[in-house]
Amino acid sequence: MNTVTLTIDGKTITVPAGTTVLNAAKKLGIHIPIFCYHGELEPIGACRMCLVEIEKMPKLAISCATVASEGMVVYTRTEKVLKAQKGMLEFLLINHPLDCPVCDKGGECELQDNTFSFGPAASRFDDLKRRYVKRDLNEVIRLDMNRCIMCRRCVRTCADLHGEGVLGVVERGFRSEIDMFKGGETECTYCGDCIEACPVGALTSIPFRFKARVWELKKTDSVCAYCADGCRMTLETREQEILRVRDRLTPGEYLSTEHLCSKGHFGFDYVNKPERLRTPLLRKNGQLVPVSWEEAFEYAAKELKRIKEVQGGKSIGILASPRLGTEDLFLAKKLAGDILETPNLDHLLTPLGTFEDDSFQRLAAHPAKLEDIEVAQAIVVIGTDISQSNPLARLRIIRSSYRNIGKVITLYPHDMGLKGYVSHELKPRFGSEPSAVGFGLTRALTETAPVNAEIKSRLNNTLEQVSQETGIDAPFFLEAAKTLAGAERRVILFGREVLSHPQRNEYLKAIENLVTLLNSLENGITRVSWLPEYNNSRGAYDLGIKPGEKGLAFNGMMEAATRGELKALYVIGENPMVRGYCPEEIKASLGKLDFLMVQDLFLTETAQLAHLVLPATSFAEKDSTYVAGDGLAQKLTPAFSPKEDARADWYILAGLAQAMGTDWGLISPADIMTLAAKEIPGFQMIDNSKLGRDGLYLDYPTPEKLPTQWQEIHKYTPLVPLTDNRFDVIIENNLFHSGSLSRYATVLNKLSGAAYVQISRMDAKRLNLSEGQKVTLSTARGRFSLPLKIRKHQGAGTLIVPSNFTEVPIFNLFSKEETRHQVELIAG
Amino acid sequence: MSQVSMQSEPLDLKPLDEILSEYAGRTGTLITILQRAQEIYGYLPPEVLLHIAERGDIPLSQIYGVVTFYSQFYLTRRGKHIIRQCDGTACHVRGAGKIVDVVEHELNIVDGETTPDYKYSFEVVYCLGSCGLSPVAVIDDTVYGRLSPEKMAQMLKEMH
Ligand code: SF4
Ligand code: SF4
Ligand code: SF4
Ligand code: FES
Ligand code: FES
Repeated sequence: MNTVTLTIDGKTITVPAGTTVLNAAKKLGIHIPIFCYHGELEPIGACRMCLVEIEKMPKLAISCATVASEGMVVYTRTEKVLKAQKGMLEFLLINHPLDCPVCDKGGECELQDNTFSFGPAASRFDDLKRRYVKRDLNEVIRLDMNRCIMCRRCVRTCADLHGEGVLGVVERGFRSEIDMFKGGETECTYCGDCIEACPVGALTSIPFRFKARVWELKKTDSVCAYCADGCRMTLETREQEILRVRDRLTPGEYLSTEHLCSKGHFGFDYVNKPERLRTPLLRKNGQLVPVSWEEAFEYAAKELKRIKEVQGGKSIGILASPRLGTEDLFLAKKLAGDILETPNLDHLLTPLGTFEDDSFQRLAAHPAKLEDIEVAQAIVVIGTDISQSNPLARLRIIRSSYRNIGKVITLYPHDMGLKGYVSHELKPRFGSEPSAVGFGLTRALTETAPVNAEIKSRLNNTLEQVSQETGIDAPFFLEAAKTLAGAERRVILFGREVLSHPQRNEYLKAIENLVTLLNSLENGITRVSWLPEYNNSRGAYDLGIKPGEKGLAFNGMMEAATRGELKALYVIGENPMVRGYCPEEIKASLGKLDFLMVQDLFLTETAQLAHLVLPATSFAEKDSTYVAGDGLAQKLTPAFSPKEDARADWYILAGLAQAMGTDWGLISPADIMTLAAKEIPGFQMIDNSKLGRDGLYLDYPTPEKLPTQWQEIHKYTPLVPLTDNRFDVIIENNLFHSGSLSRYATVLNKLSGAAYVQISRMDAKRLNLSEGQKVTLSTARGRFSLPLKIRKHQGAGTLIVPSNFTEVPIFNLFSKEETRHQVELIAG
Repeated sequence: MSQVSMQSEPLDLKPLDEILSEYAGRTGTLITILQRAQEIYGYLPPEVLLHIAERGDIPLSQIYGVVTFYSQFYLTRRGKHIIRQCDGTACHVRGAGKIVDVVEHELNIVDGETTPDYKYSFEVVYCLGSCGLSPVAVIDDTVYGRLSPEKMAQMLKEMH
C-alpha cells in the first residue's frame, strides 16, 4: 500500500495515500471541527469549518477535502485558523436562533458544541434574523429552516447513502432552503437517517421531539428485532420506556456508520404499550384471570404431564416464532425433545417453501456476509423486493454501486426500488422465473464464459426459447452473464419469493445450477445467501427448529388437532390466528385442543383462545442473542427490567422444565449458549457472554464455495399466464409491516397507511381501473375489497397484497395446499 | 412537502417526449432539456418536471434544485411582456428604487409576479452590466438606459 507521512501540530504520522488531512488528524487524536463532512460520502467543502493552515499553501485549506501528501506540515490551531473558525461560526450564527435551551437538539448539537469550543463569545451583527415557519415534511420529520446551516448532510444522506433523493436544496445563496419532494419514482421511506445526519436542530424526529433532554437518557446497545439484516442500534430509554432509537452510536462521534430503516428507527413503541401483558393469565370459568407464576407453572406442568402420560408426547406440539432469541429457541427444542418427547416442533406458520428441499439446504449452507456485498463486483438479487424486505442489505448494494465497485443484476418480475443502481434488470414474466435463471442466465453463461464443458453439453435449450417464455431478450441475458463471468467476487442473494413461488423446487434448482456453473469457472468466487425474513430466522434454521422424525409441521399439527390426535399446543411468540392460512380453520382446530398455552407480549387473537397465557419480554428487556441472515450472532442487552411479572422467554422455558421435574441448571443466557455450543454444530464459538459489541459469525461447516451439484430440470414448463381479470397474488411483507409486533407499533401503522392491493400500470389501463378505486379479490373460499394502488414497474398479471394488515384477511382466500394463489379481480 | 399541483387542462407532453428521447441515456443534459422544455411551454409547469423526473429517472428534488438555482427557469406562467428593472449598486444610487415603485404601483404586482391577465411579468435584477447607462431596465430584450420614474410610467402607458 502507498503511504504518505505528514506532520500535524508537530506530530508525525504515516497514513495510506489518499487519506484526508482531517482523517489523518483524527488518527493522531487531534480534533478539527466540522459540519458538512460525512465520512461515508464525498466531501463537498461547503461549511469551511475545518480550515487548517498548511505550510507552502497560500491560504487556509479545508482539511476534509485536502488529501495528505508527503512531507506536508499542517497546523490546526494557529491564530489564523482560530480566527477563521470564529469567523465561520459568527457567520453561521447571524441567522441562527440563539435559543438552545428550547431547541430539541440542545445537548447533542454540533453547532452548539463547536461554538462553545471554537466560537466567538458575542456577535457583531444585530440585524433581524431570517425567519421561517417550522413545518412537518411528513409524519416523522419536522423541518425548522431557521436552524439549518446548509451543510447538505441530509440531502446527501438521502440521495447517496439511501439512494432515495427525496430531499433537495431549492433556491440559491441566502435564500437556499431544504425541501422534500414526492413524485417521479421517489418517495420518502421514513428511514430517519436525514434526522441522524443533521448536525443541528433543523431536522428533528416528530415522535421524539420534546419527550426528553438527551442527556437524561440511558443509552443501551441493541439489535433490531424486525428483519434479518441484524442492524445494530442504540436504545435511548428513561425508566421502562424507549424514547428514541438511533443508529448505533460510538461514544465521541456524532455520526454513525451503521444505519437503520423505518422499522428500526420508529418501530419500537409497541414495547411501551400499556396493553403489554404483565402477569400470567389462566382461564377459570371461561375467563382469563391473572395468576402467579407458581400457579401458572404448576398448571402447565400438570396439563402437559397428564396429556403426555395418556396420549403420549406425540400429542403435544410447539410452535416457536423465528422472532425469539437463540436461547429461547434452543430451550424450546430441548423442551420438545428431552421433556415432552415430541417431534412436533416448528417455527414456520406458512409453508414458505420446505426447508427440506436439497437445493435449498445446499444454497443456504454458508451464507455470504452482508459486508461481502460491499466488495462484490457482481451482485445478483433474485426473487425479493429488497427495498421492502431487506432495506439495509439494499443500502449495502447502493454503497457498493456509489463507490463504483459492484454491478447489480436483478431478476424479479417487479421493480426492486433500486432505481439507478441496477446495471442489468431482468424482469421475467411472473411464473417464468425458474426458466430465466435456470435456462436463460445459465445458457448465456455457457455462451460467454469458459464454463465446465460437461455441464455445458447438458444445457441444450436456446436463448430464443427462454426469451419467449420469459419476455427477456437474449442480449440482456448475455450482457448480464458477461458481467457475472468477469467479476472476481460475486454475491447471489435470493429471497422470500423464491420460497413462496408456486414452482419453488424448480426455482431453487435453477439457482443451484447457476451457482454450480459459476463455481466451475476458473476465476472468481461466488457466495450465496438466502435472505431470510425475520430477525432470528437464520438462528431458527441453524438450530433446527423443525419437525423431528415423523414430526408434524404447523399445518400438520392443526390437522392432527382436528382429528383429535394433537391435544396440546404451546405457541411461543406467534399469532397463527392472523398470520396462518385459513384462520377460521385454525380457530376450529385450536378449539379442539385440551390445552393451548400461548406466550407473547400481547393478548393476541391466538392468546385470547388460550387456556394459559404467559407474559414474555420484548427485545429491549432481554439478554439474548439473534443470528442475522448472514450468520452474524449478536447480543441484546437489556435496557431496563421487565414490566412487572413479564419474563424472558428462555426464563419461562427453563421454569416450565423445572416445574415438570427437570432442572437444567441454567441461570443465564450464557449458560444456555454454552450448552447449545455442545449440542448444535456451528455454535461452538458463540457464547452469549463472549459476543462483544460487534458479534461473531457462526462457524458453518460447509466451505464458502458451496458444494452445489448440477440439477436436471428438463421437464420444466413455466406457469401458464392468467388472462382477463384473473391474477396471481403475491403476498408481500410491506416495509412498515413485517409481523405481528409491527401491528402494535403506532408510528409504523401511521406510516403504512391503509391496506391496499397493488397492480401494474399496464393491467390497470387494460381493465380501466384508477388509483385508489375499490376492487374486490375473490376466490372460491371468499372475497374482500381493498383500494387499488397502481405501480409503474410491476409485473403484468400479478397483484401484490401486503400481509399483516389486520384488515386484510388474505390468508382466508387460499387453502394451505394451494401453491399458486389465483384470484379474480372485480371492480368495486 | 412541496405540493406539485396539477393544472386543470391537460398539457400536451408529446413535444417533451421527443426532446427526452433525443437525450435519452445521456448524462449531464438536464439543463439543456429544461431549457428546451421552457422554450416549448413558456415556463416549467409541474407536469413537465414530473415527466422529466419519471422518464429520466432523476429525483424531482434534483430537478427542482436546478430550476430554482438558475434564474433563467420559471415555475409559473409568465406575462407577454417581461420587465426587468435593475436595482444593482449603480442603478440603486441613481434612483432605481423609485422606478421599481412606479412599476409595482402601475401594474399592481411586485417583484417576481405576473399580472392576472398574463400581460406583464416584473422582475428586479441586480446589475445588467450596463452601469454606465444606469438606471437601466430591460423590457422584452430591449435595453432602456438613463431611465427616470416618469419615463418608465410613460413607457408602461405606451405598451397598453
Ligand atoms: S427519512 Fe430517509 S428517505 Fe426520507 S427524506 Fe430522510 S433520508 Fe430521505
Ligand atoms: S437540514 Fe440539517 S443536515 Fe440538512 S442542510 Fe440543514 S443543517 Fe444540514
Ligand atoms: S433493515 Fe431490518 S434489521 Fe435493519 S433496521 Fe430495518 S428492520 Fe431492523
Ligand atoms: S467540514 Fe470541511 S468544509 Fe465542511
Ligand atoms: S447596477 Fe444596474 S446595470 Fe449595473
